[in-house]
Amino acid sequence: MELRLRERRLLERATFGPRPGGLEALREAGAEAWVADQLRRTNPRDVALEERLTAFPALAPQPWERLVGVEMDSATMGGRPDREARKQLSRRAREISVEITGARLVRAVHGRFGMREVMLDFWSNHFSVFGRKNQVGALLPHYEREVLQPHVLGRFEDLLLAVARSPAMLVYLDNWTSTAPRLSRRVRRRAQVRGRGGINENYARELLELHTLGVDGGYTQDDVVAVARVFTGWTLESRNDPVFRFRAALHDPGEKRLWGRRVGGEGIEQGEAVLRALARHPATAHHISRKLAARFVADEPPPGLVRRVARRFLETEGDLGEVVAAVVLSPEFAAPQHRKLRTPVRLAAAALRATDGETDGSRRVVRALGRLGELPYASRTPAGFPEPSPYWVDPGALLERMNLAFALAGGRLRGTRLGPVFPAGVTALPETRARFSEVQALAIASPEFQWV
Amino acid sequence: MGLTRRRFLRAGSVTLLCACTGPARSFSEGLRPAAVSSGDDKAPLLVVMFLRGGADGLHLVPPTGDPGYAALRGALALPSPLPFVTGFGLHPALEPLLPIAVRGDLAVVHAAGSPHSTRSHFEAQDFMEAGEPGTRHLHDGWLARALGGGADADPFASLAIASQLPLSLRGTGSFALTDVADFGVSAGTEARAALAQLYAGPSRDPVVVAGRRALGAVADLEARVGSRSRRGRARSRGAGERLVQSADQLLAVEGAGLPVHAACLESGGWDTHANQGGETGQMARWIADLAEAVARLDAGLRGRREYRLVVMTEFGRTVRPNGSGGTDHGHGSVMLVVGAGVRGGLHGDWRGLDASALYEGRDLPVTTDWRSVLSEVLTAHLGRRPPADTFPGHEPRSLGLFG
Repeated sequence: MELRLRERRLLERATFGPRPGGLEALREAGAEAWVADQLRRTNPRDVALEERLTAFPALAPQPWERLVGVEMDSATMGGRPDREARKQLSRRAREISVEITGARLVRAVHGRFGMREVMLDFWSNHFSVFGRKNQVGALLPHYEREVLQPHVLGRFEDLLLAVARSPAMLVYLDNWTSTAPRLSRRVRRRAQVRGRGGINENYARELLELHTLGVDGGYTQDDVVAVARVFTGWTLESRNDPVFRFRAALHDPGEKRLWGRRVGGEGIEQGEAVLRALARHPATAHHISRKLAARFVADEPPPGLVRRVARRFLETEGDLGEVVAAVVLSPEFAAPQHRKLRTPVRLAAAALRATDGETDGSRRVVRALGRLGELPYASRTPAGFPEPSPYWVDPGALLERMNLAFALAGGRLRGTRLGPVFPAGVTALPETRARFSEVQALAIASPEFQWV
Repeated sequence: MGLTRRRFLRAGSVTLLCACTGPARSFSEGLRPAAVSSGDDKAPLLVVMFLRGGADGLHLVPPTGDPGYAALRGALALPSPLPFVTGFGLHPALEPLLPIAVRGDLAVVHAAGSPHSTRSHFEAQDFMEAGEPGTRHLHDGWLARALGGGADADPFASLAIASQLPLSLRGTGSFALTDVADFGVSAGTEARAALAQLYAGPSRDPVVVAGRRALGAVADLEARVGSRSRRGRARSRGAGERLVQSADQLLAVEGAGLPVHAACLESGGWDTHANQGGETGQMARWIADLAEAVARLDAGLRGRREYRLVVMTEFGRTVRPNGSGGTDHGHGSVMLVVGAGVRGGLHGDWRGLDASALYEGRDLPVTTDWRSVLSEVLTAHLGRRPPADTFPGHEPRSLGLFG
């Protein structure tokens, strides 16, 4: 019985939902072998998915100018591109955001390595950036392809370092404008720093509170300021060429003390050393383990499980594949009393997968899902979308869920439609003379289907 | 440039004259009785209009008497604003509000806004709607906490005329709708009946509880407003974007007998970075929409039901125009308060447009915290002070907006 529930939950929670025949295949392989296959370290090829993703030109590696299709005169950080160019850039950033979002839906529905897709979703929400802030939208293809994807099942430290250097995060949390205070006029002019310079604490605070230690991780406002000073000079080449660049001239060379100790090294090494120390900190291990347990097991995860997973995190030096395996192969994962709500994206993807449906991730389905309030890179706060179910359950949200089910079933979202299969596992449907597609919609809109 | 600085100044002084002989007198009269007919047993209605994008307060209520106004505003200075009070005019497109102003039912709080320094639309809006500057907790809004609500309240006790439930109302279990005719589940009769069955029964599953409430509200609305086929569609186009259509929707819902106590309306064209226009043009059209919406609500409600209306925006704009005939993100703006018991006229703390008075040398400062304004509006609406957690950690300052 426990085994049956674990198998079902692996597909329901650790992927975006079972496809017809998926459960049988998993049972044949066995839970542990299936998990091991999903967690393969080297990036596995998924040719069918790659084929589908060619429909999203923004995903392909390409020079910045070609991606955004706009030339700006003022090349450096402080320079203001002209208004027309800015308008065009923000329009492109929006378009690229929609593509990235649509591609993520295609991945969720059609990806063969479901756990990898779920972890991409998890980490992009953990290291949340808001696609509509400034030019962040245009930086998302790079963020996903170069920063998140290579590390979603790798080492936490590598992921943290990659995020810290990513243009998307540097812009989103303003660190690219954070400089040593009291810069000389000559330095400001050469680096085209706007205004008089000075630190911006935004990234430093979220690094400690959200990315690593957690709000109760034991740090003070003085620590936040010290970390902000450590990361001064972590900026971009230019607006026209938004790649990471450490500018020693903007870095605060003064002594910094963290938790009462002097930060060693100098220049960019200081920031790298701080990130490594944070990645190995027990508070970080606890914070990340708790979030993973909340994602896969229960909104309020059992403390014993969190402790065990955190220990695994420290033992393996943050090997994320091992850590996730510790969560989904735990006894708590298969305990019947722990229910999880499907968030809107999980609901839509599960509906399409359960019926053997299709999506092309086009603008129309992105817009329809947007109404339910959850899309990748659409969280307006750096904390990402909350996991606990009460955030997602209110009458208005339920009405949206019902309408989404009928829109999917009725073929009202061009390019996205349910398949011919009735969703497995929905048992409590009333007798009705409604059409088959409407009965499918009823199954998807049923209370039963909202939970896994 | 056809207009000289002198002509602007002259225009300003004409306004001053008008203001002295016009409605200004009524503002000094102070206390006024509430504009509500006796014998009306309906609870008061609170309407919140959010101007998204950062509305230019100096365009809405120009400080024509300020010595710096014409020079600082340049091409954006309004040559002939409507008279309001000494030293201040109203944008000509606010003309539909004149009868309300003459009655003394229009209060303007100038240099109002959020003390938070962010110039990001989404941050500033979230902070205001959450009721707490700098917050990251966006699970419920100020209006939701002020109203209480909960599962027992009528599902239409508060609602938003918008495509999505705004944060201000999140946490009430209320709905957003743009068209009363579209509110419901679009499915066949059979399927809808089966859906109702799925969510019937005494289950305490929060999903079932919420879904039942949703379907109950749909049925309720149909019973009271009539079936889909009988309702016209043409009038609602633009609701959720245009305040006039949203106001019409609100009046339709309210008039049909739904027990609405609070409603959020919004419009989104206020981010005037380019070609803002003067007395006519881009922003004037949005202002006209605002004024017409307020006037329609006033006409539809006054004498029949006690109501109060507050207009807010996330921040103001730069005092000086930019290079594109527009203005960039700023700091202080204005808030308007209309309705029962309002003491009309100009409120707040005006410190002038002198360079030393401006925020960061470029924006109108915030001299009145928006939470103080909303606290007084809520106190008048609820008949008691709003719950302490409405604006966590804020001690409202008394403004005397009502009397």
